[in-house]
Amino acid sequence: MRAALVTAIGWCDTLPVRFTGSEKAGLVHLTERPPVTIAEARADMVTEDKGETMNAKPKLRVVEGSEAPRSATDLSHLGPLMARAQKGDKRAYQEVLKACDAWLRIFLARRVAPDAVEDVAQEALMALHKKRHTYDPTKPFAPWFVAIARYKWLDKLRRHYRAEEVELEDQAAVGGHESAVMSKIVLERLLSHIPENQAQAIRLAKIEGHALDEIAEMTGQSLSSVKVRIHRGMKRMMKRLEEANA
Amino acid sequence: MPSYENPSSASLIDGLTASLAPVSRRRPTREALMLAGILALQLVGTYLFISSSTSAVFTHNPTMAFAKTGLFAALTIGFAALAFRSFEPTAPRQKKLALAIGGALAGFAVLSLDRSFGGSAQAILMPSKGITCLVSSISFSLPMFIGLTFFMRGAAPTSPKMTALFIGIASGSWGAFLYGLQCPFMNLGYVALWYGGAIALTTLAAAALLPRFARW
Repeated sequence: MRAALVTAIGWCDTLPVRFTGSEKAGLVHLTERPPVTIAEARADMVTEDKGETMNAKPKLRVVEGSEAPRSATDLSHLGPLMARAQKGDKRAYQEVLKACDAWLRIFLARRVAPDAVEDVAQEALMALHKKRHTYDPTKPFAPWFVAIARYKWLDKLRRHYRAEEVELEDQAAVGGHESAVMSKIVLERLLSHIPENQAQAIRLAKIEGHALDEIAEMTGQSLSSVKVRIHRGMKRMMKRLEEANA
Repeated sequence: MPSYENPSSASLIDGLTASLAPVSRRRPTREALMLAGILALQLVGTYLFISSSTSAVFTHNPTMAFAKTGLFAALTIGFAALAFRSFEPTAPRQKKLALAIGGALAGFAVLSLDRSFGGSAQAILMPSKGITCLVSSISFSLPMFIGLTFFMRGAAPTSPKMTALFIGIASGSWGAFLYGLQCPFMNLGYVALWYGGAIALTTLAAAALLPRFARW
């Protein structure tokens, strides 16, 4: 559990995608991300002479055409490519997959344990492949793909949670240190949203690593009551995660 | 241009690209029309067998007959629309909308159907007739159940459980609508138990079976 449970550390974060509303290849790019406001545009201005001070007059670096540098979080140009892919254009499809793969790495980095990123990213790419006929080229690509990626991510969490329930029965040992640290942070965040008695049971089991019978003894509850509290708390946290990302 | 290509994904991407074949896009409007066509055929076919009973029912108590069939027709259309909408991966969770539709129609049923509960439960609920009603409604719901399941498999629902519930309610309501055309019983208790039971059973079956057919 510590491993990925809820690697959902980013459950309250915004998705790393930029919905520009345009599916056309970017015409203007200022550094890596297109500015939204004048203030942002100013911040994104770059000076041509790197040695110049703040007094130097900034100039916009405008790059035209499809060769413009793009942020890995920018999926807005993929709509026309996906439409071509639906007709069998392999080159366009490869570009779509590479861009989506890059986006997935960022999306998943703070949501699943590092060792699970690869699996979930590949599952999401497979899902994109299986469901490519459901993309409607008249609509933006990003929301469609993000919905699929989010579904695969939550699906992974659900499966992991079920596996954890079995593991809980066996009083299994803990995973790696890195995952444990991440999960502790995540759990603390999520625990603040569930009833205290459930949070306490989960905290003792998942963060402090106590065995279930120890927790029962410490809290004065029966073993089955501790199990129920952990189970209900976990379900609530999953629900919270799903709602936060719906 | 910065390269974000991940070496570990490269072989998968190459494999997927190599296996790429042209696909015909999913067309929700065409699917809805196909389903409507199938259901229209079922409606006409059924009506040919029950026309005399239907006429008798609508002549004897037209207000309640229209209310009952209208109730099931509205449930069918409302939940079939929710199901189709949920086939899109970008569809929002439609729980509140579903509750609003279901609640409004339940309220309509309470207001418009026969609320007289005098006499024994046996006389109101008529189990011998009710069982036939329940089983027939479920049987009549099958074409819609199968049709929506087929379209769901070709779509990309990201809330398969919710989609399954919508399909179950829409199918059960369709079966209840068809069988209700020739059913003379308008008592609220009878309708709630036997027609509601048919809808509940199709919904349970859908919830148990359909998520695993979502083919992700």
